[in-house]
Amino acid sequence: MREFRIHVESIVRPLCAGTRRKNRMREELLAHLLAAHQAERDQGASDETARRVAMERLGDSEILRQQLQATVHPLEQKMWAKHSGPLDAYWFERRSSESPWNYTGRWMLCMLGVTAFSMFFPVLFCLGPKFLAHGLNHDTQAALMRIACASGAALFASGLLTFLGALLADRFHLLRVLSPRNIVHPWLMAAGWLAMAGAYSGGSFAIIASIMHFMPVRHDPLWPIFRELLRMPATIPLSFLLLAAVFLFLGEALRRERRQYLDWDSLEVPE
Amino acid sequence: MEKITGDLLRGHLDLMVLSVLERGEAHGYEIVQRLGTLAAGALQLKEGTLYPALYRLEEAGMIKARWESGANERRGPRRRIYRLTSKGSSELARQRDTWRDFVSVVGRIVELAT
Repeated sequence: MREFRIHVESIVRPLCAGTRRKNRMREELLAHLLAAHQAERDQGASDETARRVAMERLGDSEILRQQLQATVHPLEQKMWAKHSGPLDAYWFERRSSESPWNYTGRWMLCMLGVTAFSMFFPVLFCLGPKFLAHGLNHDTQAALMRIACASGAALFASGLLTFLGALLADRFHLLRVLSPRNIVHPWLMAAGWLAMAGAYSGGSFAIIASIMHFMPVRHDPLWPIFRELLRMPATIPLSFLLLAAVFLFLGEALRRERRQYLDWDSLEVPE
Repeated sequence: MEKITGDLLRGHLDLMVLSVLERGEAHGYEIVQRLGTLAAGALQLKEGTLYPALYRLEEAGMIKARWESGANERRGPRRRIYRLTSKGSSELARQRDTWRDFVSVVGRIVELAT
């Protein structure tokens, strides 16, 4: 089994592809080799011969690697050209020898994506029918401007905290909690993310509230939506419960991916 | 009978995989076995090349894959089960027609030239 794993890893490890895709290739190729080995054994071959034949049947490693690489989308190839590792670590963890500036920039880009999904799209979705009916009026523009200002401020604050955190980590050699070497329990991971999401959304709402105070509009098209949401007593606990469930699911999925990655990454593969 | 290998095989692998999956869903190794049985040993396929073909076909929406259920009861790595989609079925029908035309035309030329 170990010999097969090393053979598979020698084919898959150099590929520029996402961890999930590579894990899938690893599992499939390994399952194939084991099945071929069993078939050879059933035909009376010795264990050693069966192992050799199973690997021969798979074909030339270099050609197979090229063929597998060709199935990966060029954008994915480019993304994973220099790095490998679990998906969450790839996006949010500070990489080895990455400067605090670079890390902060990358972090802010990631958070920009998170903000876009968590804020802009729902808002645009809510405003969509109004756009179609009346076009962009002054109040809608002002409301969107407020959201943009609030998101920008939250993003800046998050970037600043990340930068300070990275500087402190460098200064005091702090261990990285999200290192690919650490497998955090899904409950703990979900709780951490929930706390982060709570702080992020709480901060954003505080900024929105203060911006609303300084940028008042005659008729705010967003306010009724927020008001209705806040009026429902179960909204906030329910949304947190929902978020917790999503995070728990994500945590479990990522833990599996992380464990698989570590399992394969620990193999010493000849160059 | 001389074994069919290399480019000749690779060029038609997608069509052969689709044809094999028309008989029912199967995992990678099973597909190789079915190909071997149908070809009565005349194909010399480097088995690893099947997987890039499967990934290509899946990406194109011709086949769909899922992890084998009950993999925990079976020891070892999980297997992925592939099945033909409706898009794959229509593509298979189209490629079959093209293949028949190709065989008929090339066959005629090759036979007449001798």
